[in-house]
Amino acid sequence: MKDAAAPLAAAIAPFADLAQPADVVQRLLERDYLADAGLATAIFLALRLGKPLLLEGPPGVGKTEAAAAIAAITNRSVVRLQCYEGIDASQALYEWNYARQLLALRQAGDKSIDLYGAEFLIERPLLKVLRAPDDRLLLIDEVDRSDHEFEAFLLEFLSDFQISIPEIGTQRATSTPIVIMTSNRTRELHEALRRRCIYHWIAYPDAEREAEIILRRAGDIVRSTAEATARAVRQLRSQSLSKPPGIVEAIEWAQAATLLRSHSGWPEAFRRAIGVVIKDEEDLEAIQPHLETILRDACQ
Amino acid sequence: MPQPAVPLVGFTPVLRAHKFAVSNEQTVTFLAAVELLGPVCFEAIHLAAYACFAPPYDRREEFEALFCAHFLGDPLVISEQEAGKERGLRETSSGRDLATAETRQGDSGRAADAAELLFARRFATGANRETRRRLRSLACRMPQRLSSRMKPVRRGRSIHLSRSMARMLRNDGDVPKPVFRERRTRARNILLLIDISGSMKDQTREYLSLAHILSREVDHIEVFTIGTRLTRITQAVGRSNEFAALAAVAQRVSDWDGGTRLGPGLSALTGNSRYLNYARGAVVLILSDGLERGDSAPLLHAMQRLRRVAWRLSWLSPLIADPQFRPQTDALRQLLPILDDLVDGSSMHAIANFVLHLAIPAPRASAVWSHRKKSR
Repeated sequence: MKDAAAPLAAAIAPFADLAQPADVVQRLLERDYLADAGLATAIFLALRLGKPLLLEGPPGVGKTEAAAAIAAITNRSVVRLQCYEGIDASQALYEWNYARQLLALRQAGDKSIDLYGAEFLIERPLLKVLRAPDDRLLLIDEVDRSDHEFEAFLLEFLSDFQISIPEIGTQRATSTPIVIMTSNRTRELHEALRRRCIYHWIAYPDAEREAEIILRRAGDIVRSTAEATARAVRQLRSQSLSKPPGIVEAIEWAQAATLLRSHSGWPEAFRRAIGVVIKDEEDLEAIQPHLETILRDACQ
Repeated sequence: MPQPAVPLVGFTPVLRAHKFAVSNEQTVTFLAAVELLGPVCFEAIHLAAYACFAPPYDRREEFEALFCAHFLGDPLVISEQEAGKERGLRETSSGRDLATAETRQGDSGRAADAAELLFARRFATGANRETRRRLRSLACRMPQRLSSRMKPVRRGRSIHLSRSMARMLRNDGDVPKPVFRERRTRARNILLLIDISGSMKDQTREYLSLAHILSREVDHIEVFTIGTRLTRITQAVGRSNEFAALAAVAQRVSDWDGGTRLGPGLSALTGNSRYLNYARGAVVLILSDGLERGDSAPLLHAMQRLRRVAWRLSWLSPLIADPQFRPQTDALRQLLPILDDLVDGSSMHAIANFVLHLAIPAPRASAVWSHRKKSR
C-alpha cells in the first residue's frame, strides 16, 4: 500500500524534498552556485509549481550557469537549445534525416519500406526533452535572440508540452518537464511569454557575494584577492561602460592577477591583467583615468 | 474565498489599474506560490510577487511602490494616488477629453502641457494623410539583408532536401526535378532618433506623427527622443491610434523643448549595449538640426560608435531646406565624413521621399556637400 502511494505523491508534489527556498540555496551551494533569496524563491516555485523559469539579466551574470546547477540538483542532464535569429521549428523540434531516407529509398528497390521510422527521425532539443522529461532539463538559451515567430511557437509548446508530428502522431510529455529560459534583454520579450513563466531578474551580486563566488570558482585564490577583485569590478560596473564585466570576467581577472603577482605588486598585477576584464578599446580608454584610484581603493 | 487570500487576490486589480498586464493565470500562480512558501515571513510573499507577476525591468520601482502600498499600507504612495485621483476628477469636471485627463494623472503638469501642445497643432497640416499614403509601400521598399532562414526556389545552388523528398514520394521515388533553396531576406531595422529640443520646436509634432506612421508600416523599428536626456518611445508611438500614440508619448517624455544635449543623449544610447544592439546593421535616422551647445566631442564619439555598427547613418536636418545652408557648424563639419547622408528633413514630404529610397545606394554625404561647395 505504502509503495503504491509513493510515486503518486511524487507526481502530485514534484520535488517534495525541497520544502522551502532555503533548501534550494543549500543544494545549489553544494554545487558551488551561490543563489540569493530571490533567485532561490523563483527556482523553488518553478520546480514545485511545474512552471517554466525565465531568467533575465545582463550578460555574464550566471544565467546559464544557474540552469546547469538546477540540472545538477535535480539529477537531470541539460539539453540546450541555443537561440539565434532565424531559428525555426526544424532546429528546435525534430527533422527527418532526408539523406538517409533517400538512401533507404534507393536500396529498397521494389520492397516497401517505412520512411518515417524512428531511425530516420532526428530529435532536436524540444522533442528530446519531451520524450524523457524526468531525465532531462530543457535550457532555452538567449530567447531574446530569436525572432517573434519563434517566440510564439515556444509559447505554444510551453502551454501544453506536446508536439504533433504529422507522420507519427502527437507526442506528449508524461510529466511536466523543467524548462529554463534565459534572456539578455537585448529586446523586449512578448508579454504572454513572461506571463506564462516564473520570472527572475538576476542582477550583479553585491561585492561580498561576488567575492564568495570568485573564491569558490577560481581555484587557487586567496580570500583577500577575491575581495579586492569584487570591489574593483563593482567600481568598474558603476562607470557606465558599454560592456560591463560579468562574473566570469571577474573570476578570470582574479586568476590572471594572481598569476602576474610574482612579478609585481597587487595593484600593478590587476592593472596589467585589465585585458581580461575589459575587452573594448573605448571602454579601456574611458576607464584609464579612474583605473589607478579604483585599483588602489580595491587593494587596500 | 478564504479570508487570508483576499488581500493577495486584491493585488491583481491594483496592478491592472496601473496598467500592468496581469493574467488570471498569474494570480492563480501567485496564490499557489504563497501557499507553497507558507506564511513564514513577509519577504516570501514579496519575492513570490516578483517571480509570478514578472514586472518589466524598467517598471520594477513602480511595482515595488504598489506592492508596499497594497500590503504594507505605505501612506506615501497612497496619498500620491489620491492626489492623482483628485486631479483626474478636476480634469473631467472641467470637460477635458479622457486622454488629457489620463496624462495629467500620470505625470506632472508639464507632460500634460506637452500633450496639449502636440494636440493643438493636430490639424495644422494636411501633409499627414498624404505622407501616410505614400509610405504605405515602405514595407516592400525597405533595404533588405540576408536572414538565416531558407526558402524553396526553382533554381539555386543547394538542394531543399525536405521539399525534394516530398516531391520524390509523390512521384513514387523518381526525382523529376529537385527543389532548391536559398536564404530569405529580411527588412533592415530602423533606428529613429528624434531631437525634441527647443530649437526643433516647430518640427517636433510632425516628426512624432512620422514616427507613428513609420512604426505602423514597418515591423522592426525603434524610436527614441533626445532632448536633455534619452527616452525610448517605441512602444508608446507604435499604438494603432495616432491620438493615443501621441498621448502616450507625451506621458513618457518629460524634456520637451529644453536645451539640446545631443552628445550626452547619444552617448546614453551607445553606452547601453541593449540600445546599441538596435543600431546593429540598421538604418539609423537622426532628425535634428545639429545645433549642439557646448562640447561636440561626446557627440562625435557617439556618432563614430554608431557608424561602426549601423548599416546606414543618415542625418536629416530641417535647416537644409534653406538653399544657403552649408554644414559649417563645428559639430556638423566634424560629423560630415562619417555620415552616409546629410539631407533635408524640413517636411514630412522630404523625409518620406528619403525613407522610400533608402534601399538605393547614394553618394556619401561628404561627397555631396563638397560638390555643392564647389558649385557655389
